[in-house]
Amino acid sequence: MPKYLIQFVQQHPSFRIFELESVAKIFNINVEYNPNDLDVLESLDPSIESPFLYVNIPSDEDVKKICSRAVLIKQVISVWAENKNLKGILEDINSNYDKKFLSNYLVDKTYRIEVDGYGTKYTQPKKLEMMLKISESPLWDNGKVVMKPTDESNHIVWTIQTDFGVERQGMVRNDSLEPRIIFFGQRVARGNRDDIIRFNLQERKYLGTTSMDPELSLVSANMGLVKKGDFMLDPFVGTGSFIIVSSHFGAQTVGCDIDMKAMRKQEECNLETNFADYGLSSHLMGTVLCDNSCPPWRTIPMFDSIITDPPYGVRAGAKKVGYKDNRRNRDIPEECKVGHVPQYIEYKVPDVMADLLELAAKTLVIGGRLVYWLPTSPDYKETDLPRHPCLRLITASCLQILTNRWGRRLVIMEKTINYNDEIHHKSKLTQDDLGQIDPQHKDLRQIVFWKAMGSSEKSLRKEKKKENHKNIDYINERKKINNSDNNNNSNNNNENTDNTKII
Amino acid sequence: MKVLTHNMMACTKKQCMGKGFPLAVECSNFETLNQEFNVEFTKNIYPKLDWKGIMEMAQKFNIPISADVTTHSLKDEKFLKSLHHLLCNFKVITGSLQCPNCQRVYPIDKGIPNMLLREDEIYQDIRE
Repeated sequence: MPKYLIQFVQQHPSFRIFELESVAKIFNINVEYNPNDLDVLESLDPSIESPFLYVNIPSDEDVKKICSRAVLIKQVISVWAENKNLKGILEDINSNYDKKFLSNYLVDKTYRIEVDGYGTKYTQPKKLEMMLKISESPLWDNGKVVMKPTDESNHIVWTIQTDFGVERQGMVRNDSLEPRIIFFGQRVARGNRDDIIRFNLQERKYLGTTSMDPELSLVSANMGLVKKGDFMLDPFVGTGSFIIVSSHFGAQTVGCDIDMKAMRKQEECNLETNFADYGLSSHLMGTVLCDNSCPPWRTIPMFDSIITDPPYGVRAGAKKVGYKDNRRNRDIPEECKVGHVPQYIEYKVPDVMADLLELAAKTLVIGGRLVYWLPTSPDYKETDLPRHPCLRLITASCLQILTNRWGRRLVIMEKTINYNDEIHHKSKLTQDDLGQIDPQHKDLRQIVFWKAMGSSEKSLRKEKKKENHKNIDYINERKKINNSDNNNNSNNNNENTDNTKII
Repeated sequence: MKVLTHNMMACTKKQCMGKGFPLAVECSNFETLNQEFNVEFTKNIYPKLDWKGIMEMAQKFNIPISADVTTHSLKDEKFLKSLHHLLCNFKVITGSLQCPNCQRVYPIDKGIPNMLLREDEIYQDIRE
């Protein structure tokens, strides 16, 4: 298999390889790479990390297919030479390839050369200077330089890609700085970065406070193996970021939410108008108002993927139908039962996750994927992850760090066996089957907003506040009494009332 | 609510599990759409359909689909087209759904079915 060099985008290092593998799986393409290279690719140490990875992919066509979906790939290069400096590159080209092959390579073709650096920027004169350094080669004997080609199929984009790495301690940025390595080759394809611009949130009419940004929505849909003809569900649809991108990839989509307002705020601006704006209306199968603790679906494998961002109580709280503590056991009058708007109570994050996994176990097809975002703090441990006997964990190592207190993980699971009510009913599963042994995400608000102040201190402060209020009330009352007593000018009465009030 | 969504739904009560479908549709207002035929999706969704529900909706909207499953062929484009037409092109705007098991009625408003239970119905489940 031919070898290609993938340049990933700079952000989201832990997502890169899983996205590549997922996209390769969608198109059924065999991708091979050296697992040891991942240490460099995913390293958080700036002196080691590098967004370049050599992979083996069967053909140029397959590379183009992968690039049509993968969002985290910047470009894929078929490398001709790699060296520390341009002089070495020129020597490599001239010695590694046959002279005749080189001079005939560009016959009847057009080409252009692009110069780009990772961790640096080049001015136009500098780029020209670099191009001239590799000009003494029979490769340039034929061919015509065209900057804006009319015929893409006969056009070759040569790239000189340098790698300086991101800025790090002890690094002096000036002209004398040598790159870690220089690659020279032919660009096969660019990644699917255009879709990010297409689904730009600023241009979307209907938005919410927790709408997922397009890049991560597209990555999530890729991880969920969404393809044409699929049937996909988002049980916490909100403003519909995931169902929009999944529809864009050709799936038919359904969304659920407990909040009517989230789905249809105004007649002229809602989830459906967003679909219409993108020309994807035919992919939206509809939205359903429902409570995820009692999902309204038949128990058969029907969804090819479930992709969702459950609410976890930091920006948006989860809700389910139920009695509030102070209203327990109050019956709803018979005449009010139709059109009754139920009250919502807090839906604890571990319960949200357990119900989500059960829904996936019941309604996913075998091999279908559940992809969801899970909040985590630095105290995250493997046992925090919810589990289900019908689902296999693929990975939870894709981490987006939001602040130093918390971040979120993209958890990917695959359904392996069908749900059987007799074996897999909630009551028959042990805590161990379901995972979630004292998960750190159970009260995330606490972590994000109140870490400096422990829960006991917090409640103490509340009580103190209440006491202060009482004292103020008491003082006010005393003042009132004193005033009225002064008016009455009766000392005996005054003492009596005072005593009774205090008692 | 499109016919496909209806076909996938069931009553949300726990005691109706496995029995709460197909939901009986009462329809006072519906929309007919004209969407492009999607052959991959129709083939993908075919084995997951509940035929009792499909037949009820086919009668309601007057779509000629044979109830005899053995006569269906996924190579028959005419059949796939009429199935796709039924599943994706009819949208109930206002109406209601009724569970065949517990007779609970779920309203449909502005095309969105309201599958929420009342608090006392949730409480019922916990008691049982």
